[in-house]
Amino acid sequence: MAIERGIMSRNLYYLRLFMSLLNFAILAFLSAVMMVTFNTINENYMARNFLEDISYLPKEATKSTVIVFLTFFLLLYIIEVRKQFKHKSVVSVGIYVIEIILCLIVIRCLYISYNGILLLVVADIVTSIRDKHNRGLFLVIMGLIYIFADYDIVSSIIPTISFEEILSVYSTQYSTLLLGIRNMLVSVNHIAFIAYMIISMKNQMKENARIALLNIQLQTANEQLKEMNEQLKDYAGMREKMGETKERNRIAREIHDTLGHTMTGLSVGIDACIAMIDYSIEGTKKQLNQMSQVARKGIDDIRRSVNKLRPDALEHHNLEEALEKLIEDTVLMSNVQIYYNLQVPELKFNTDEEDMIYRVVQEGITNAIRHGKADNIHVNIKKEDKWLILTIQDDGIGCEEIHTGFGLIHIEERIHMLNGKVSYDGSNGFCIVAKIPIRWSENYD
Amino acid sequence: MSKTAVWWRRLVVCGLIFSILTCSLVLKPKEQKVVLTFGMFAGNQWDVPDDDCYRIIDETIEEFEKKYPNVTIRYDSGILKDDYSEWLSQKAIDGELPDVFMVLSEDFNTFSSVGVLKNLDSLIAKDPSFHEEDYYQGSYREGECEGSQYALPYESVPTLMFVNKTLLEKENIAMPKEDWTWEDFYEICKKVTKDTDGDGKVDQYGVYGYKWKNALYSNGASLFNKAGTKCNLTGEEVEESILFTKKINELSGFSNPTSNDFDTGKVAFQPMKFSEFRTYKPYPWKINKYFEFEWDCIKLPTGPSGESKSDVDNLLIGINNRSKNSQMAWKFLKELTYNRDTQEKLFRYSQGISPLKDVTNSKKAEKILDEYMGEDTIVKVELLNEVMEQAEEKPKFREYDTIMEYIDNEILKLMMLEEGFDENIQKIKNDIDDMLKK
Repeated sequence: MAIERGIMSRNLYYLRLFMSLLNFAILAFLSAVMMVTFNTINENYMARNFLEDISYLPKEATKSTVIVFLTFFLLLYIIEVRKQFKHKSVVSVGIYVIEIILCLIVIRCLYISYNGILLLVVADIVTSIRDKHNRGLFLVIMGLIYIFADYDIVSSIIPTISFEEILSVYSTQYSTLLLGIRNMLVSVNHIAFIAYMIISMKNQMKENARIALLNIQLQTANEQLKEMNEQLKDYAGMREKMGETKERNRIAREIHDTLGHTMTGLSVGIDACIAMIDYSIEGTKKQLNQMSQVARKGIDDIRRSVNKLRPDALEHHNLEEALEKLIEDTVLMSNVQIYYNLQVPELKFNTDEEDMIYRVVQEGITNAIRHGKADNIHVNIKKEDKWLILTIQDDGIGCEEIHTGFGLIHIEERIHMLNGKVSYDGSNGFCIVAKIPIRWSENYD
Repeated sequence: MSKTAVWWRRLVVCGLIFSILTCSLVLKPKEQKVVLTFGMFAGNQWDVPDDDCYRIIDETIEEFEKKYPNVTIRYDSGILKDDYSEWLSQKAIDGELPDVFMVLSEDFNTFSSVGVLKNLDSLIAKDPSFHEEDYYQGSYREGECEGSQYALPYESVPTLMFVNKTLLEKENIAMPKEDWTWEDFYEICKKVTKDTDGDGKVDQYGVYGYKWKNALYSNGASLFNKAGTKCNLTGEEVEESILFTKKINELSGFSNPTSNDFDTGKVAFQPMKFSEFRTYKPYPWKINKYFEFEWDCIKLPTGPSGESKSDVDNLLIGINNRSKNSQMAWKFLKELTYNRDTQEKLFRYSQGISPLKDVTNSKKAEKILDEYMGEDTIVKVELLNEVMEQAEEKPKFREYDTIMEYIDNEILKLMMLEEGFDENIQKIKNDIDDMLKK
């Protein structure tokens, strides 16, 4: 089908080329006749009689000819160049208006003896204006011009000279011959135009059929896609559930592997101590020492396990980067401004402390946005003696009474686990101040 | 580059273009020299000898160039009147038509309707210093076609009746009065027409060259209606004129006078154009002609059907419809046709009279005429003024000249016929009406 279409538009292209050449020939013929005629008139001293026979003084022939051909080539050039601006509708409309004006100039310069140049532009409009309204409008305009650009109609309004009048200086036989040649060329132009329109119409019909077919295909594909989308949704749900189960299993296994093992060991050890304590204090002591070691190892194991359940961000970045990323993401996703002020040279703590700081900041920001409807949030982290002071202040609606439901319990629990203190103030926006005793790692000792 | 910088640069370029344009608009026109071309023929429209045909034009051009230093006016000299129409037509076809040019009356209708001549209506309307009332209306209307003004009269030549005073005295006939009629005219002609030497042939005549058209105008008749769509040939005034002309010409039987008869003083009257009258008088023409009799000129006799009109010929000047300097062309046209100084020179150097009322009807004009025509001239400015005021307004339509020629021929033939006047004239009228319809 594509090849066939190629042939069709190539046919159209050649036809238009032919029409252009033909129009050139007609313009050349008419201009030549006028030039030669005016020359003959002057050479044979027939000028005064010629003026007597005509109804309008023609313009100087050479100048008219130059204007006609300049205009004609400009028209051809515009038709060629316009293809580049196909998609800019304003430029395109402007160019069509210019085309119409150029046509009118050619017609005027040839004293309305030839209006077939309009067909060339109509052929161009039919194939290159895709917008239905514009195309209709321009075709109507061209049609009207074609109808009224007729010598007999125009000459009653604007004084002009007819081709027949120009030929009146020749003998009847000769002038009939010249008229015949002109009419023949004009007819050929008409035929070429009709052929062009037929091919163009055929093209259009084929195109329409192709579009209809494509439409049907598109519809089918759409339906299939919908179905698949549904399936995908189900699958995603399933995946989520499966993930949850998997995660639960992992935690269970982790607890079982670490805590279970240690606890089992400890409970067995304690049983042994109970049995032993009455007769061997030394043995019991030894046993307890062993159990203490097991318990420590257990704590280590638990810590390692918990490490595996840490927030994603902390898993891949250090605390500083993780906080920055958190703030950045939040700013990107919501309309708040977050002013982050870090006054501690290096944020490097134990993992549980890092976790805690991260969670508190996260919770604080979330609360400020969700409950406080805040626009600006200030996050400050500073160090005072052994304390790390974390302040989250927002300019939201705040609250009179503080309900510890807003995830604050979570924060409190976490901080208390680390022997820290936390205080809230909801009178002016909302402010969380957390004081955490940091086991400053060796860098800070 | 920042946005501001881009905009700034655009602004600068715009400003530059604007100032260049302004410069070229404001400065260039002042520097530019306007070249106007003028088209004229040698001699004059009335085929009388003319030695000074370029003198008025040269002087006017000099004056005009003094007034407008940026204007140069050029003209081709040496084009004969007979070649002038063709020369002008060829120039028109070549697109080289002069900006301002003289128009022969036979060309005027064609040139105005074909678009060779510029329609002056808008120029006239825009020019507060121009008043059409300053012209004799008959002359002014000569430049009108289908309701629009296409040319202005430059020089006018009325037709007057030339009287051989000596002959009338010899025959004991008193000089006709200013308001004489056809009857008086016929009576005098009848008395004068005789065979003086007794050889059986008439050798003294009443009038030479009296045409039916002379009678027509003096009888207040119009050949066409104002729009030029209907012929008035069968109207009473026209028929009277034709019949009167026939009657006058039949007085002398079959022998008609020749111009030589008039020159040798054997004819009492001759209708004559003012230009002929002027050129024949001064040296050297005086020697060749009119040397044996005293003469005078008066109005043509009035017909029975009321108001007398006179036949006035006009030389028109128009502007090229495609002139690029139409404003300047209009000024030059006015300098030629509307300027009193220029028009006064017509009396001095040319053969016609001015179509401007103020100029023709002035003591100065009379003085110049006296000066140039010798002490025995009896041309009164009042007579000229009256004749000019009564000038017939000829309707203007494209085929006027062709049809006039046709009518002239047919009427001449008709006057030869002895019978069937009514049928024949009706037939001619119908033919002409058919021609007018086309």
